Amino acid sequence: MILVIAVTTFSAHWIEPSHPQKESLRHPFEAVEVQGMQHEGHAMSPVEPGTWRMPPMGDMPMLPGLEMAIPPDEPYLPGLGIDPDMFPMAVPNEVLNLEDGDQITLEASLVRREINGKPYVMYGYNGQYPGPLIRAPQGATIIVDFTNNIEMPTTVHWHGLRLANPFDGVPDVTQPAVQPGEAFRYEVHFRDSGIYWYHPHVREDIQQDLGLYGNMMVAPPNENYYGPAHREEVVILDDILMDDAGLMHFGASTPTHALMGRFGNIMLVNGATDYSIDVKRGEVVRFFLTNVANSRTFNVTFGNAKVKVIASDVSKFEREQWVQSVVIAPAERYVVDVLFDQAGVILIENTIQAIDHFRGEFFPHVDLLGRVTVSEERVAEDLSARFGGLREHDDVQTDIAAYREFFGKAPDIELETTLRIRDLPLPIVLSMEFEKGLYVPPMEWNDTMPMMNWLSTGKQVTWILRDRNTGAENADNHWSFSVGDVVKIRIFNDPESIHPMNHPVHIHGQRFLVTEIDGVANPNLVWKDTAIVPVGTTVDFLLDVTNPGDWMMHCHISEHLQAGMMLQFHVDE
Amino acid sequence: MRQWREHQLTLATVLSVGLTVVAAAPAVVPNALAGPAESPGPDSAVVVKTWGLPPVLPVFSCAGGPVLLAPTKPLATEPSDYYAIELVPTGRVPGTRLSSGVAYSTAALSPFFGVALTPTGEYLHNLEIQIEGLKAPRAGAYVAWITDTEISQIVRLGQLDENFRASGQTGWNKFLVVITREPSMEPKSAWEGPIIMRGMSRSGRMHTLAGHGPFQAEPCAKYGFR
Repeated sequence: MILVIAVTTFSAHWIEPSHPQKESLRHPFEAVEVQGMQHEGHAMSPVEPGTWRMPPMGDMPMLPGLEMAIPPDEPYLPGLGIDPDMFPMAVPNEVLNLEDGDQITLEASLVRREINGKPYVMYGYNGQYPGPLIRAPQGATIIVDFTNNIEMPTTVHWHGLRLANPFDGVPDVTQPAVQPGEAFRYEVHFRDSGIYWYHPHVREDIQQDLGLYGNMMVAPPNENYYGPAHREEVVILDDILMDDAGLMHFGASTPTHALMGRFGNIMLVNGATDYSIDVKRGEVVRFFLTNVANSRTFNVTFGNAKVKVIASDVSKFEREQWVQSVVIAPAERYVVDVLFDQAGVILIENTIQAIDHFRGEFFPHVDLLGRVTVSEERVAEDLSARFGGLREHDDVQTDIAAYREFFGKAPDIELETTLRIRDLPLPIVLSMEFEKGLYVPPMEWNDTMPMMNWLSTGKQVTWILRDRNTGAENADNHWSFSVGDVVKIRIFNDPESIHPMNHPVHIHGQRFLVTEIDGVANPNLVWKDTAIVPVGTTVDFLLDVTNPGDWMMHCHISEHLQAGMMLQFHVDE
Repeated sequence: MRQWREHQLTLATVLSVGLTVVAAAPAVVPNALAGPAESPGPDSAVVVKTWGLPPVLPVFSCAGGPVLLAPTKPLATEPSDYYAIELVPTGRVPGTRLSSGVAYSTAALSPFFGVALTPTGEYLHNLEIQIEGLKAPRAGAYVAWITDTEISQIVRLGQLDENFRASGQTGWNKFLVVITREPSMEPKSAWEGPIIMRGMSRSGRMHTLAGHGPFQAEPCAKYGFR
């Protein structure tokens, strides 16, 4: 079967009429071979160019009544219909070792990417995937001269950094969006050590999903900050949604997949599908993990290797801890040490219990993320004894001790998460009500309803952070704090809403502790900027207000954010 | 009725391998409004906070709106009842027909303080069984069990205490909670006495949609269901 695709009609308002890429993006027609049916039951026309294709459904049948349904928006893909060879081939990222005062350039542009042997037009920072790894010492400030050479406005948000507010990268809050062809200078300050990341704060559901992300590694001044390891690996976890014909379209003016977020079906590690490393027997590898997926929470396993968790978003944990897997939600980071003491191949996998709502079943599911090949040759320096101990982090404990006074305080703000739907097709509404009466899991590990999810857009779904005391929702909240405030924010994820889902909640420019879940004290604290709020739970964030300016708090599922789930707060000096 | 904190804290501690209790009393008590002055600590990677005296009480205001003070009725921190399992009497044993019970099910804590999973990705569920209206058995003991939905695997959670409570944990996706009256207190691998109450996990409500609801016309046999 031959599927002929032409460029979509650009109805999106972000295309500047004078933008030089505009015309080239409209070059029509490209033939793509479809290798089998993945959309049985849907009446979409496979020969119409630039039309919606529903996501692959596996063996799940079409929900009756939706055979003709498509999202109420124009489909969009960058460079659709253009020969991918017209764009420069993206290359694996480089490492930028920077010092205080250094200056770099960063350019967002259209690139050609090859995934599983097929070419796609995607985005890249400096023509790389992921974007350049920025290494800098704690306390440094660098200058980033950013240029936008994609076809829509964008910004760069420096996720997790407590930097100066004008450089936080939130359009219409801290800066105007950078229009195509324009530039913006960021001053990026690294106050805390650890692993951070940068990404757009405009249509993350498209721009981030198509490759605009990169890490920042902030080195601590003390070389003993972490325990000993033989090497460090920076690993960015992602997924992308494709069928045999290529990338699935995005909504031109509003995101699709607004209910559950866009789950990909191809796993990417550092932007590729073939992540692998070779180590010697006995090596301790320190993995710096970042989840940049739109919606997927990963449960990362390392075979039978011994794993201990060291740090997360903005600090180390109070103490190291053995773990069997690493649960990492969108935008979270974890630092783990792994000892490979047996020769052979260790698979890094996403190991989950997926749900098939049609069959009413859980089923075990494993996604291969990467391979670690352990040679017979022993590593020269044996660190196994030191790896075998669990370090107490006195520096973190001392820092956090100053906040324990506030752990027992009443919440200053109480939020609940819910959603509102309108104009969804009736079969979807009926199905949601039917399923709601059955079971909603605390976390969604897979897209349990690909068709319904695809058809729900930001026009029909509003995700809500609601203040339980004022009733204010999302942007109608206008909190005001002062530097030095310690604020307890209690968040309840209401399981009785029409479609509850877990939310990775992110707070810009500050740091917080998750002190309690459901009234149970957290036994091992860590400074965070993003944390999971599972369905049915009540989570206490203790916010350390240290950074003046106008800041955001939002769900980091890209589609939930675009569907309204964010608010703003002000911090006085 | 619930004793979440004690139970879950214990489980959290158990889950936290290698955890040691740390006396975390601050040397200097901080205040919500007195801003921390930062200075390098002995470990230069660490910021040590020292705090000034509190000038006023903290107030958090909504810009352009009323002052937002701490709510007078804080949101409950108890787990939602959404995943609670109602225990229904079977009526098979005299003295148990009027009893009622609940097995509160919550996601166990993880070292990351999100949900805790088994190595193969199943949720770890904390169970807190609380039964009212029972009378102490004349002989033997009431015992709580969990079993999978095929009743092919059975785990003894434990004997109900004098308040008719028991607790435990499971990593099964779907499961049944079963309360039996056992002839003796001797631990067994499966129940021998009559079932007095039973309930099913919320996840057990999931069943195939083939032939049901929006898929009324979809033949069950096509998907291996009868």
